[in-house]
Amino acid sequence: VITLQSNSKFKIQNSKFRLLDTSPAPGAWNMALDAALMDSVRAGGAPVLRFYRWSPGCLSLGRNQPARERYDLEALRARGFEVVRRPTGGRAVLHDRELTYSVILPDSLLGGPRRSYATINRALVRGLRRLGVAAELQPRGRRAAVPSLLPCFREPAEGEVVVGGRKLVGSAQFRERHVLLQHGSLLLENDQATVGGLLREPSAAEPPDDASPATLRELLGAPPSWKTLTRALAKGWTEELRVRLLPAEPSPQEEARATELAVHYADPAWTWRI
Amino acid sequence: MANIPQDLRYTPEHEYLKRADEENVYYVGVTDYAQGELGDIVFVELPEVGKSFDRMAVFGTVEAVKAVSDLYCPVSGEILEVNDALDANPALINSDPYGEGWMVKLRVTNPSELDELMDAAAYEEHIG
Repeated sequence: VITLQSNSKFKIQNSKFRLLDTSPAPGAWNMALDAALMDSVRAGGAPVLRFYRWSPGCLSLGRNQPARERYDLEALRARGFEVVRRPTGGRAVLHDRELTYSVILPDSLLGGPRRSYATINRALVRGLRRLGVAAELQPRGRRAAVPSLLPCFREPAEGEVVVGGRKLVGSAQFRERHVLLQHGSLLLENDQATVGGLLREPSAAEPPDDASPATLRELLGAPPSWKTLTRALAKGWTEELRVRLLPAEPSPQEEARATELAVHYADPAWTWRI
Repeated sequence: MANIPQDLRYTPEHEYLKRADEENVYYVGVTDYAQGELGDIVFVELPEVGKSFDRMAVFGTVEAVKAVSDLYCPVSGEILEVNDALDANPALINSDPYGEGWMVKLRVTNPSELDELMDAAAYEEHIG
C-alpha cells in the first residue's frame, strides 16, 4: 500500500522545494497541474509547495464520495460554479473565497499518511500563528468519517488545522506510485454553508451538530492579502520543515502534461463516476 | 506489536499473500501493521474479476481518514474474486486484516515471483 517509514536516504531537512504561486484557474486545470507535478517529482524533480486559487469558483468532490445525481446542476450553473472530482479522499469543498495549497513530494520523505498529514499541518499552523491565528491540530477522536455528501468543513478529522475545535483548513492526500500529494483549502470567508444548498436534497447534508467552520475573516476581522497570507504560510513551511523554498513557475513540460491530464479531470465520466 | 502470521508472504509495501485452497491461488490484503499506520479505512476500490495485473501494477486504492493510497499487485496474476463485503464494511480491514479483511483472490501467473517476497521474519525486520 504504502511507504510508511521515512527513508533516511532522503533527508527532508535542508532540501530545496520549488514554491509555485499559480494564477487563478478552472478546477480541472488545478487538479491536472497537481497531478503533473506528481509526475515531475516521480521523475526525480524537486518537491513542490504550491499556492493557488480557482476561477470560476468550483465545487471539488472527494475521490470516493457519492455525487452522481445528488447535486443540483441548475443551482451550480446559476451561481457560476464548476464541479471537479479530486484525486484525493474526503468530502466536498467549495473553492471560491479561500486559498488552496498543495504539497507534492516523494512519499518516503514524511512517512505514512497520519505522520505526514500531521507534519504538513503543523507547518500550516506555524504559518497561521504568524498571522495571529490561534490554530492547532485536531486531536484523534471518534472513528474517521466516511466519504459522504456531508460538506468537508462540517467535521474536523484527526490532525486537521482547527481554531477552537472548528475547522479552518480541510486537507486530503493521494499517494500514487511513491509520490505524495496533499492539498487543502484554507477558508477566507464562510461560504461553505453553500455546499449543502447545492444538493438536490439538501437534507442529505444535515449536520450532526451545527459547527460552522472557522474563517480568516472572522478570526482576523478581514482576510489578509494574498501576498501576506502566502508569505506567512511559506515562512511557516521553512521553519517547521527546515527546508528552502525557491520561487518558481511550472515548467513548459509540466504545463503540457497538465493540459493532457485536464481532459481526464474535465470528463463527466470521472466527475460523476459514483 | 503488529500481528505477523508465520505462514504468509509479504511485500515492502505492506501487503500480504495468503495461500488459498487451490494451487497458485492467494488471498491478497494489507498487513496489520499497515492498517494500524493508515488509520480508519473508509473506502476501498477494487478491480473487476477477470482482470490481470503485472507485478507492482496498481490494482486499486484504499482511503483511510482522507488519504487515498495505491494498492500494488504483489506478483503478476489474474483476479479471481474480490471481497465485496468491504464495500459495505471497509473497517473489516482494520479489525481483521488477514481474515475477513482480505481484498482480492489472485491466481499467480508467474510463481517464481513468489520467491522474491518476504517471509514473516524478514517482514518483521522490515517494519523494525
